[in-house]
Amino acid sequence: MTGNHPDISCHCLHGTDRDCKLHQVECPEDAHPLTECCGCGRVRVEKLSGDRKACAKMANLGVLPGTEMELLCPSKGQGRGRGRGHGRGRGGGRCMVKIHGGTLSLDQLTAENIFVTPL
Amino acid sequence: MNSPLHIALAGNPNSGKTTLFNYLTGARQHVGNYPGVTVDKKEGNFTHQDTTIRVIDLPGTYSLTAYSVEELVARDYLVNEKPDVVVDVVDASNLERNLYLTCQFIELGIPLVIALNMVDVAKKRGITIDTKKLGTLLGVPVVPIIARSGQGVDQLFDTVITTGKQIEHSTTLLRYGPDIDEALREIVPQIVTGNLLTDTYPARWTGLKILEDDEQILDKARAADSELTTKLIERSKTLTHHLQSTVDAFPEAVIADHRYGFIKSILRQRVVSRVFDADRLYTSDKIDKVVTNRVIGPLIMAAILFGLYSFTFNFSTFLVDWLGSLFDILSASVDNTLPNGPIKSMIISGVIDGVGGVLGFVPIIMFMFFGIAVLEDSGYLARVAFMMDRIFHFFGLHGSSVMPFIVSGGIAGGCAVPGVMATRTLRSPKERMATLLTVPFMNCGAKLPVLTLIIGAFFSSHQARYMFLATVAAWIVALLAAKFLRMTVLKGESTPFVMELPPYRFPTMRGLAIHTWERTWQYIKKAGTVILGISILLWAMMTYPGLPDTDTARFAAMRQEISSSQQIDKDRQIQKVNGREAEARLRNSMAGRIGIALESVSRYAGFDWRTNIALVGGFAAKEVIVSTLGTAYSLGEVSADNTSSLKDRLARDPHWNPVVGLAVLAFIMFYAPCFVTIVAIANEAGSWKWAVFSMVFNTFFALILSIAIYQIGMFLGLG
Repeated sequence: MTGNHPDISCHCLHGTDRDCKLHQVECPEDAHPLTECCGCGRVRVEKLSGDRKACAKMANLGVLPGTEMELLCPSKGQGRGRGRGHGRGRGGGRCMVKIHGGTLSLDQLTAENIFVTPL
Repeated sequence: MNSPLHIALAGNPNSGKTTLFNYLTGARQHVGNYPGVTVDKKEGNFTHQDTTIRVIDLPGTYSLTAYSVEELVARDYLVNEKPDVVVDVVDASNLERNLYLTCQFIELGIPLVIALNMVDVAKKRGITIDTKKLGTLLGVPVVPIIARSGQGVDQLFDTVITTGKQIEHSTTLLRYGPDIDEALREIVPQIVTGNLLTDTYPARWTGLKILEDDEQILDKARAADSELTTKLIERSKTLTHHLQSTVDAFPEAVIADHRYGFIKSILRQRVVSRVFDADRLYTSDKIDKVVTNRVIGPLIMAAILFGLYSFTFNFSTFLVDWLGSLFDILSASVDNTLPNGPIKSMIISGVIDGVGGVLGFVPIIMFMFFGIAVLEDSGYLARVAFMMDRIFHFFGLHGSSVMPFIVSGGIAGGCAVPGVMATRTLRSPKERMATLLTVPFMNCGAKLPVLTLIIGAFFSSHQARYMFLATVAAWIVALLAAKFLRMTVLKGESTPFVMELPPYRFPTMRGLAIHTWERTWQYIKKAGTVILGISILLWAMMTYPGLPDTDTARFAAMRQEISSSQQIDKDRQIQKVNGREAEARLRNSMAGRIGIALESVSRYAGFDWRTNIALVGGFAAKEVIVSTLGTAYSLGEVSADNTSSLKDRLARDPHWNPVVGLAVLAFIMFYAPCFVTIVAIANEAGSWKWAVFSMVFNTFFALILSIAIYQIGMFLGLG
């Protein structure tokens, strides 16, 4: 599935994967882990999973359900439940997001626990 | 005399807090550690309008939870030390995120002044802030400043002094939604009635922390009143269950949401006006596009790290040489002034050579920390950590571990002492410990003459290849050892790599100079205390007990005999006798006896007692191995730089062969770090336990590896 709104303001720090469409957030429209998005653009946080401490840490950094953020550098394909061939995304599971005016780098485990939908 | 006004600087990392602290205190600052942790505690004094102000620079934090050492240190300081005023340094160009911490200061009810820093950067980004309105809505005075240039700092401290004199401080009450507000209305009166921690914390804040499941506050509350705390926890559990079933969130997430909501509601009241779109990409983002690119990024990183390495070790050489000459002159003057005897020997070999050798590292440390300060203050170090985390994470380390590894000799020729000290940039304790225990495996500059000697003696036809292999082997062993440690003694979940990447900035020379000096001074102080003691102990071990009188007399008679003979090469003959006497003295010394005793184990790795003495001496400094081998092989004084004669001697010696050479090489690369590194590890780990562990673990590993190499090599007939 592809995001509906091409985002001309987005930029992809690690280049664009052949599987991804340039300047488009390509992740499922129902909430999926951030690690499954393979393009750049704006997303909305729908849910946080993981243990209580991890959720609280993310909340303190402003990663909360309903918050919008810009995916600057997608990790692509490191998410759970993906088939073979998705284990070696260009970001190695790490991604970079811009939220509340700051840039956050997130590791795979943290990004997997952030469920987002494209905007 | 009035006591000084006590203020604390608090704020987010990269908000310019330390820049302001450096501007205020300059060189009049003292760096120590908070009790029990290795978080820097910076303190200084300055005068403003005849008022003496004592200022503390608290560690940068995003919140006041109990999730990191920095957060605990900051909030404990605010609560226990009760500063007269807290100056909250807020980055004007990133207001929304920074005000989150401000909300928590407001909740804590502390006397607060906001220093709205970097208003110039905000202006360049088209952001204008109505500071008066912001202050009115927050109920806290707000003063715009530019900490780099000092603009607005006088007005800031006028406000700080006025606030410090106020007895009453206005408080703003934050709301957290009906569920949490209702729970607070129930539990706060119980906290007040039961006097639960009310001497230390405001009751509403304690209530909030109980609902947030804050471990530190819960422990304190249980210790103060177990029964009441259990009751309050039950109420908290009911709330948690309710929020989980209705909004699928924990109370702390709802609380955080309302804090951000509060901030947004303030900013939307025309406090902030923007010329450009809020999501516009700034120069910093554009630079990131290039420097974190998956292809170009690693190349730029390699070039910058190599540049740092070259800068550190090339530019510091002249100072190292100059310091070395200075200590040589000092030794010579002591030699000429004092009469021969144990005192003279101790001063020259124990004090001057020992401490001088240690102080010889000072220029390297100074240059290295200057380079790191440039990378750190410019914001690039955070990008290095981001790029390297993928590889290092696999070995149980952190992206930030790369710098200590490089500095310690990742590109052969570094130094483990600044490498160990560079682990301070790591915030996660287990990754930091694994890093500081494994960086000594790198091939530091002191190991290079030894490696050159042995490779030159036995593998001279492939010298470059073996040197390269030694560097690769050091990396492999260090990373595997880190993995092993993280799976055993440092077992535990990896710290999530979640960090804010600060925007790129030009570092200030003042900030760089202060950062460099404070670390260097800590090292110099250490050289004057612990290191001096250990140095004297090592000297004593290699000197006592001296040769029996009969042996001394025998060598004296031999020299006399040569002097009175008609031989042509008298000097050479006397030098030979001197060498044999030095060897005999070494054999009879405590270190010599240890070397002989160790032979029962070391012979399985092919090392004889003379090699053992050199390895024991190498604990003082790895360069000592060469000079001790020289003494042990009856060559007298052998300089670390001039190893050709010793190389030939080793190559011809019946006890040595290529397999022994390889086994010794492996042992030297990986056994116990030198004592300066050990002291640095103890200092950084906050315990001698880890320093001892490092000695034992590394030596045991090196011995097993050497035995394996020797036994397999001999079995295959390669000797």
